[in-house]
Amino acid sequence: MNPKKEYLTPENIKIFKGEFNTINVYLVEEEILYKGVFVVSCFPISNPYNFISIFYQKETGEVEEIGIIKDISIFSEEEKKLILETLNKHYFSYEIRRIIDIRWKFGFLLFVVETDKGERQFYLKWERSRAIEIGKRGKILIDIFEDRYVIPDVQKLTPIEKNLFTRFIYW
Amino acid sequence: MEEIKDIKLETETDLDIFGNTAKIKIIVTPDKFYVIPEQGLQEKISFDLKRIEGFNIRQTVGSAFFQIKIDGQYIDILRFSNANRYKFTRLITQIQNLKAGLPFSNEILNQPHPLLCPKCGFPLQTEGEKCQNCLQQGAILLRVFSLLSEHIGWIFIIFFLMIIGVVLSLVPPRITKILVDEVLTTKKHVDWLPYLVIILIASEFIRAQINMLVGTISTSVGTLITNSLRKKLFEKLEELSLNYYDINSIGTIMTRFSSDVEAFHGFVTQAGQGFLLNIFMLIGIGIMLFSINWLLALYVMIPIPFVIFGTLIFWRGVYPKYFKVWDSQAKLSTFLNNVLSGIKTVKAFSQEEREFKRFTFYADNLKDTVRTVNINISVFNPLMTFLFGLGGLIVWYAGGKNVLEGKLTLGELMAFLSYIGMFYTPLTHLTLLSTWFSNFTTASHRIFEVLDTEPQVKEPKKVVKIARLKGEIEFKNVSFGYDPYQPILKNISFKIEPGETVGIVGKSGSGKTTIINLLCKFYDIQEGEILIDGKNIKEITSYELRKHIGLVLQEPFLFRGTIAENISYGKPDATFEEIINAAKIANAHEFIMKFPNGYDTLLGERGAGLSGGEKQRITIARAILCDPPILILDEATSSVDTESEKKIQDALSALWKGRTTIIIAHRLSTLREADKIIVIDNGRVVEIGNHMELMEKRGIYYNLIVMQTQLASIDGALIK
Ligand SMILES: Nc1ncnc2c1ncn2[C@@H]1O[C@H](COP(=O)(O)OP(=O)(O)O)[C@@H](O)[C@H]1O
Ligand SMILES: [Mg+2]
Repeated sequence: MNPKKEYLTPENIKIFKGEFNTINVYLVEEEILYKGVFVVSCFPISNPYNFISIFYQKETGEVEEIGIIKDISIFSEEEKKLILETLNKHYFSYEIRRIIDIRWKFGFLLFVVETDKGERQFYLKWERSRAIEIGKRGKILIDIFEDRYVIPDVQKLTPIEKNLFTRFIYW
Repeated sequence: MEEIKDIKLETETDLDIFGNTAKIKIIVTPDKFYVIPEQGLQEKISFDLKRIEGFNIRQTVGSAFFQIKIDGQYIDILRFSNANRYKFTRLITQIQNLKAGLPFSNEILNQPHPLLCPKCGFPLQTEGEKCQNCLQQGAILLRVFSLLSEHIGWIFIIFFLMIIGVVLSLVPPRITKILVDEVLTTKKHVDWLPYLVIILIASEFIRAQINMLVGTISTSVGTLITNSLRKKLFEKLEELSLNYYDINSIGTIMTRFSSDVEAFHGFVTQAGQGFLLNIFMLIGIGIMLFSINWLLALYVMIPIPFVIFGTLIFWRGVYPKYFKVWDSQAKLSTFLNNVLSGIKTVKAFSQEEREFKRFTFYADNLKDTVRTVNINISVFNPLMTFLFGLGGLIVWYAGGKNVLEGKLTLGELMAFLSYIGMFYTPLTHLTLLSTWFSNFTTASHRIFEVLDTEPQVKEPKKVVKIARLKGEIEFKNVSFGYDPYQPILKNISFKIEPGETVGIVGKSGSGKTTIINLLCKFYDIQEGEILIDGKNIKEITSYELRKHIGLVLQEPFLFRGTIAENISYGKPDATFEEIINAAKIANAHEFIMKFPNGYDTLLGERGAGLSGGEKQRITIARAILCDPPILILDEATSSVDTESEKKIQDALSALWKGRTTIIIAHRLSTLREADKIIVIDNGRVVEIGNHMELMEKRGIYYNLIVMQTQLASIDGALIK
């Protein structure tokens, strides 16, 4: 990869749908087609939809960056949709809507929560590094399997939930 | 739906490819791979196993994709949350076995997660560890008591003294009663007065003595126990493999030493002076109250529910606020530590003002949290005092009426009132028992957790002493990843003959240091074997092994102490001559002699006062002094100028004959004379040979050399 490469724009790349829900990227000048690319945000928390990096996977399974899209809004609606869809595929988390119960046992917290994907239970190791800030008021909880649970805004929890939550996650 | 016959492997995933919760079956038969969605938006597909060229797992943030390779391209065909990852790594191996005609197992795919206890489903700290939950709640207490058992004699003495103390403290009100009823009001035995006063004085005096004794003994026992606990912890920390330190921050480990051990200490002393004493007091006073007048005693019980309830409510509310105080204290000191150790950088970038603002933020935060807690307490305490007073008022009224009606003597009333004064305080302490107790179990749990951690690197059962190694090293198909899911070294093989000087080169991040980490047994390899003098290093304890390896790291680490002490760290009984010789080989002698105190120059924390290159040369001298048959320099000369680097290597090759030397160097020019150069790229050995052979090959090594020569000539320096 050439580090001096300019940002990717609608002029120098074409993005279109490939087989099996993948997307392909064609570099216009270099005349190279990359199949099954995936995209990753450079600032997933502070600026998720700008500075989007596109990667391809080599035959060996290793990955390499093709380039960075600085501003997604200059792409056509269709390309934009493909990029955002692929971007969202790179991130996965459960969004916590309601905290039903939190119980402490031997250094683990058992959370019972209602998420955007239904009711779930998970164990969180009771350590600072397992509940980290996202944005000004949110928290990401990383459970024992490294699955991620997001509370977008702790202040918006009901007083009872907030009380329960901050009793354990007080940092 | 067609019927699938001859199912060999079957499992399911929890997400569809778009990240919706789903239930998707994966079925593998001897010639096909099926994806069968029962839920979710994904379509059903199947592939001929023959057409699939490979499998892969692509980890993304929070989930991962299962990929198959078709026509040279990897395609995401399944997605799963991290909780299911183990299934799919296993699935790959099982399919490969199936394809290769090797034995395979479907069961292994659908076992519970290896991080969960197979019996109760409670999480384990690490795979294969004992389950804390199955060990039962009482187990922790049992262990605490086993720690106490060494001091059981003293503990019995404390108990005994405590009971005497309680009994003695019940005496004065009784005496008061006699004093009032027999001497002061009825004047029946006026001559008793001096004796009663003497008894009062004596009982108070003895009680004070006993309290002093109990305090002294329990503090001594407490410090004894915590001291031995600290030593055990430190021993364990030294024993643990490096991967423990990859996972746990030094900060958390320090907390184990300070606050957790303190909490433990607190328990031991508290248990004696607080908890047990309060129980005895409560029982003793209860008996006294009821024996004087059971009806009045019942009145005293009225405020009890309020006292308990109030205390509980208060702690529910205040306790989390205490956490916040501790947290803001920790944050403030972390911040200070960080800024002060980086003060040079702060000044260099003129960021003092911003750091001051950040400091203000943390300081204000601490102020607010402390204030909240203190306000809470100042509201609570008077309320409680009022409640306690209420009990007294009831007794004054009901008891006073009884006295007027002649059902109760004045002395009895007085005694009663003094007992009440002693009654409620133990009650509040006992109410907080459960909170205090659960804190204590958390702290001890965290301590035991460290004590119970098994080092990741398994040591052989049998300890074999090695006389002196010849220094032959062989890597056979070694694969390794710090995260087992992500291999860093892939199938590495090479052999180093005794006495050879070998260079390892490759881009930064290619895995050079990792090879050394494995050779020194800082981590256990996942596949293949490493042989030293033909012996598998798994059969050698790491302690024995490292005695024969001199390792110089890229990051020089010096301890506080003199230069001589630092050089002789690995061999404290080294002679002066040995120290100087080692320093000479490391090309350090010259600069050391420039200090007024020479080898006795005192170094600050981490070797403050020396330049990067000087520190490195001292660490090289340190390794040389131990005279190990194998010497490893991992970019140990990167901050040394080219000329000194050359000098060090010349000295090494002249004085260091017959020892195996592995040099990882960034400047390739210094490796020209090496017997062998191993070129690593992306975790694989790509070229092996000496300088001439590799130059002729015109491969990766050649390119690296050309690149460095060009860079050097741009710098204006000529490569000779
Ligand atoms: N303790 C560790 N935990 C996890 N990954 C590590 C650790 N140490 C090194 N790595 C990773 O392993 C790879 C190889 O590192 P290393 O062997 O130090 O490279 P080199 O010494 O060739 O520069 C790098 O990608 C690095 O990020
Ligand atoms: Mg390195």
